[in-house]
Amino acid sequence: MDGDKTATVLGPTVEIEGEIEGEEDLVIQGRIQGKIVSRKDLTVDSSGKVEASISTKNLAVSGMLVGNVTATERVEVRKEGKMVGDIKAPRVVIADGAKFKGNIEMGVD
Amino acid sequence: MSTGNPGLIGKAIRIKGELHGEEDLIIEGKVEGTIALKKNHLILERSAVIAASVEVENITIKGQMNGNTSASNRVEITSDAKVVGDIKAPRIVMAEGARFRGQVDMDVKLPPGV
Amino acid sequence: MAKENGAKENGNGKPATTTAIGPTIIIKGKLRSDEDLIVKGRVEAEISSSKALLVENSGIIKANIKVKSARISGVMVGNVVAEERVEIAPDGRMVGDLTAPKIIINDGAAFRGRIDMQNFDEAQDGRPKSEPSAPAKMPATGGDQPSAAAAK
Repeated sequence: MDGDKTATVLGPTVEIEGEIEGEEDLVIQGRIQGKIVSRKDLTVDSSGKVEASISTKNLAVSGMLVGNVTATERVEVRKEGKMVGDIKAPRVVIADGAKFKGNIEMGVD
Repeated sequence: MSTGNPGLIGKAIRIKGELHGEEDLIIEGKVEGTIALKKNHLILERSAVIAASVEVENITIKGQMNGNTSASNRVEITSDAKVVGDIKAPRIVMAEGARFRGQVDMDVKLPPGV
Repeated sequence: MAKENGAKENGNGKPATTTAIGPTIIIKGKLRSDEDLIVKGRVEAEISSSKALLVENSGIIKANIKVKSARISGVMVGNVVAEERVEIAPDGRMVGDLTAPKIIINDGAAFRGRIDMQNFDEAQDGRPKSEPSAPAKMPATGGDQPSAAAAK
């Protein structure tokens, strides 16, 4: 899932309120509020705090995410991750130790 | 453009009025009024103090300029210059240390969709 | 964990982060940062940063920005307020007002807008003169009339 090519890394001091759209991998280490639409992979790093609706290909959450997620491939909430929101994706992994509250819907038609 | 040496307005000269011509000019003194050297290069030396509207082809400003400048080719503002006024030219160069306050109008071609 | 291609070392060996916004990224809204920012994509968000901003050739910023310093090699449409300096590179294009103590426009750059250097009446070494100013962002700006003695 992690890029072999360059990704945009929004560093720990970056705070964005609004919309982010991209066709490249995106790593969030700061705070995002709003909406994220990506056609590639999205990673919320452990320092990341995201309050947004997300539409992406793959998502990995090691930080905090509040918001609904639609992924075309896979969503993983890692063991340091915390998520509140609904997930809609064909594959979902919630690691041991991760915190999650919301609905999960797999089998996107 | 002119042939031969550029004209020179020396340090101790003060002019008030309309200055126009067809050769390159160096100004070291003071000029108040208007300057029109539409096909030429005007150099305002560090000692120059200009309070005038200027119309040239090229201008190099090293001194003090208070007034609007219109150049058909290029404006260069050096690090010793102090300029107040508007500048309209296709090319403008402003060095580090130059002091400027005013409008700048160059042709800016923006990409579509901006 | 994803590769942090933006991380670089500063003098003490501690990583200083730089955020690079890639060419396919579009950001709208508001962006705040305390780290250097490189924009290669499109930002239609007001940027407020205490560090440097670099707009690369592919970068487009369409918003007002307030930064410590900026270097524009791409397109900037909006007002720029910089604490230290703004440089428009030879391939840079900007439309908007520039307010900064140091402004450099390289040969080839395109610019349209107002330029307002604060510290306008400071001696070249940076000591401010205390002249009362017209309403302006920084207190040290002076009046518009050049003083009579220009010779150095």
